[in-house]
Amino acid sequence: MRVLIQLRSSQRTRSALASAAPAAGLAESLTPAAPGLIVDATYEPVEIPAPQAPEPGANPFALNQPMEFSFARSAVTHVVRGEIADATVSETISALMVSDPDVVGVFSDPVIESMVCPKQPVGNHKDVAKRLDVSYLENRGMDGRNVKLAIVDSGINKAHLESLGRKPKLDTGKSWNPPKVTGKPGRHPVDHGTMCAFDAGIAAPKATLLDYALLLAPPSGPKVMSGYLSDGVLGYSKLLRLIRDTAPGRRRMVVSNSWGMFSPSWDFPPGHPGNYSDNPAHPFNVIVASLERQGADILFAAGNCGRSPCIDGRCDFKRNQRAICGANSHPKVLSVGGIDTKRRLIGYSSRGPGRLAADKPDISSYTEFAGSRVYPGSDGGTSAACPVAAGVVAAVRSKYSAAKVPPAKLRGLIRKTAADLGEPGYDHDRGWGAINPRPLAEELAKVN
Amino acid sequence: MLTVACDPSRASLEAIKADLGLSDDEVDASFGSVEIDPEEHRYAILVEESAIGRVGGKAGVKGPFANPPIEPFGPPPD
Repeated sequence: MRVLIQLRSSQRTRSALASAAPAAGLAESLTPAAPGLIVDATYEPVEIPAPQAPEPGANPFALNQPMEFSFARSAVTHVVRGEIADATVSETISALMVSDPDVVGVFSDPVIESMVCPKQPVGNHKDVAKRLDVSYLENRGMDGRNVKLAIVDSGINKAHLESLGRKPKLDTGKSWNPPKVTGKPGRHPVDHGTMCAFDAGIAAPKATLLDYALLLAPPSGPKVMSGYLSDGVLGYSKLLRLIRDTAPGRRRMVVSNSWGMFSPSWDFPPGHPGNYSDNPAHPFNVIVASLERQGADILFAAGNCGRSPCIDGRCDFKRNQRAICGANSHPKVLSVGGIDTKRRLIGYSSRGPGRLAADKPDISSYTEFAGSRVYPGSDGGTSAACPVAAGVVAAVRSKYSAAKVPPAKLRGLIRKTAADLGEPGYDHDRGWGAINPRPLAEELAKVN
Repeated sequence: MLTVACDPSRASLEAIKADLGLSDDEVDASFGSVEIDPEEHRYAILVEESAIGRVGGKAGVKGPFANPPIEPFGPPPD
């Protein structure tokens, strides 16, 4: 944990501050009291003027009144920056406060970072490919070959992908339409599902796509792309049958899902036995677990209900409601948040904790780049981030079947090898960090 | 949505309708009976709301469960 240590003015502190290396001087005097503290010698101690009480007995720190400050040498304090190992935070701070009379306080030093609300693409799919070390993967035969990659979405238009120079393999026989949807797999209108297929193909150009046009199920309202969760149950039952019909040693199936609920009002409330968002017993959450149990790698977009002003206008979660819910927060899936190609957090990417599992999203992946040309600007939303990550999973699955590396183990390695972003370690914006294919491949090679 | 735990030999929609006393009008035939957990032998069906009260408490039956609409998380609309 990063900290700021505030020191009062004393003979000792003044002497250190007057030396040629003030931070080092102060570090030397602090660390005997707190061996777990590492002072940042590159951070020049900062003088903090002393707020003055407006009258005797008043609170000098009250912000809702005019404030006066003293810059007198005897009144000012100084802050230095340091780091304390997470496991020893409490005892180190206690030791400092108790044994060093010059320590006024120890404060947190959180990461600050602007999030981005891109209006234009940040880079393109080739930049994503570089971030994913696609060449490294391809040179080792990890390109999605022999892997079934189901895009559970609004349907794929294969001709559009071909017009962009791709040569996608698509198995129409193993694809699926919901009842009453008449379009043919691979020949659906160019829309969201085609974007997802393109983005999955960045890392897994040789995967066999399965077109699961879930979101074309006839809606009850004016929206063209939507469906009902029951259609998801039906679609997943087909995937479950498909994987069970495959010999256990040959199972390589990745399922990418860039959809979810935008409003809790569409669900029974949490605690109701029929609830979906918080209830592992809901049929869809059961069948997701069932499919994973058979060896499928399942990824869900975290959602677009992050922070204002970037938040998706369709979101209807209240401030204190967890937006990563239902299968998007399932412990047996990878929940994927969004970063741009400069690895900056996308402001609309839904924040954890998740509902079915708290540490969601698991990881971040790339979005808001020029790619599929399905939309005028970017391939965007956590909708793009999810299939980008799914493509990486499909790429490594070319070499490592689910029998060799079960889905839970692969998820663990993906989290372990992610490039840490933001706060050190896990955080509820970016998860464990950016999906990091090269270290992932190296780690897989070690365990196999 | 309801789920039914039953022997696989009684897992067809026709068998489930017969066992639960549901009429043709009360179930969604296009959805059918969908296996959600092969190890637990549990199947999902879609049932009219009016029939839920009658079958909801029967042995092996759970639900009703929410069937919310779902949408893509594509590029947020302007």
